Amino acid sequence: MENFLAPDFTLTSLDETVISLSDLQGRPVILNFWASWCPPCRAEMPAFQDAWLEFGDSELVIIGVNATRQDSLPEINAFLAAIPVNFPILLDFDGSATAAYRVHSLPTTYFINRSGVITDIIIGGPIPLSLLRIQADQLLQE
Amino acid sequence: MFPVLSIGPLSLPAAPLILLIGFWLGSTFAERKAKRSGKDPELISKIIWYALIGGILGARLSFIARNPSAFQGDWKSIFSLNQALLDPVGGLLISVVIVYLLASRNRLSVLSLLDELVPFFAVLAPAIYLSNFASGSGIGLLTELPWGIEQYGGPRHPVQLYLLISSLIVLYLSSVRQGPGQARDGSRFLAFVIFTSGYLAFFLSFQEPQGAILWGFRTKQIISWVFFSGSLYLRNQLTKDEVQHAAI
Repeated sequence: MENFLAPDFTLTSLDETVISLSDLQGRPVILNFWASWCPPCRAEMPAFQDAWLEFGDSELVIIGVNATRQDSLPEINAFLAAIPVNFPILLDFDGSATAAYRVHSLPTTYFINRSGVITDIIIGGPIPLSLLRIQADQLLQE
Repeated sequence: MFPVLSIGPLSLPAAPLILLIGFWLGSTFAERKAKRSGKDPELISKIIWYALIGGILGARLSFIARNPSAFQGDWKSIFSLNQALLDPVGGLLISVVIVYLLASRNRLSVLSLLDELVPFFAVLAPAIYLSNFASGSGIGLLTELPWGIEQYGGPRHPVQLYLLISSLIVLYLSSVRQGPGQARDGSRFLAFVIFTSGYLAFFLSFQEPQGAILWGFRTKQIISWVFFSGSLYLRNQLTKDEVQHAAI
């Protein structure tokens, strides 16, 4: 899907805010698909939080999309209590976003530029902070 | 596309696994070829594995050297298993240097060594295309041809499979045994480069463009044409030398 337009989605976050990818047009986005039962997702989540803290003042948007169809709310809440994050966590209850992005394994992370084009995909994890920094800088410089 | 192989509770990334198997099979084939041609198979194997390990370390070091500020405060990620933290060009350069140094140290001609490594390259090439197919990278243009495969919004040219089939044909051709004294050092390797760059230059025109396009051609295609014509010229020179040598 690299070099293709990122499929749009509309999902509800844990705090019940409705977010569509199309609302973020013009801003670079890092989209991380994860689940609470997935060990590499657990291992890489602190790096996303650190990246959010570092790039929080920039235009970069970091979004976690939980594959809720394969997860449960109590497990998600327990996960986030252990590893608190400040960026939005969207809940993909019906698996529509996971299907649109053809997510075959978790975690999978998509890097989307200001034009809404997927510039890179990283299947598997954990992604280190250094790599998120490089990707974020590239997205912000475009 | 099958980016992850699930075997019971294990989830293994398919692409690096296929590459590793290709590397091991290629090394085995090269050892056999070395044994047949009276060379030291252990030395050939040693060169291949040193080049692999050196290449991976070189790729990581080159990546760090290009992005030093990204690792500040996150030094442990230097040892991350994530392949995205590798610089392939840097890795390739280090591998070439290692091969050259080991060849010189063991008084092997580089051209003769490259001939010995042809079975390795010939097995590694299909492994690379299969791993690309597994990870879904390098997909083709949309097509209405009946063999188009459903990928990202419609039937597309299965470019990875075109390349896989071509590389298997080259693998077959490269495994045809030559009689003793039939060719000069380097001619077998150059023939492999001619065939490989030739099919790449042709089939990459069916690939969804990635990166720069110059005069209507993809950068990879232009590089393939350069390798194709360069190898053709060099092989032609070798053949001329051979004829003159035989006449004397």
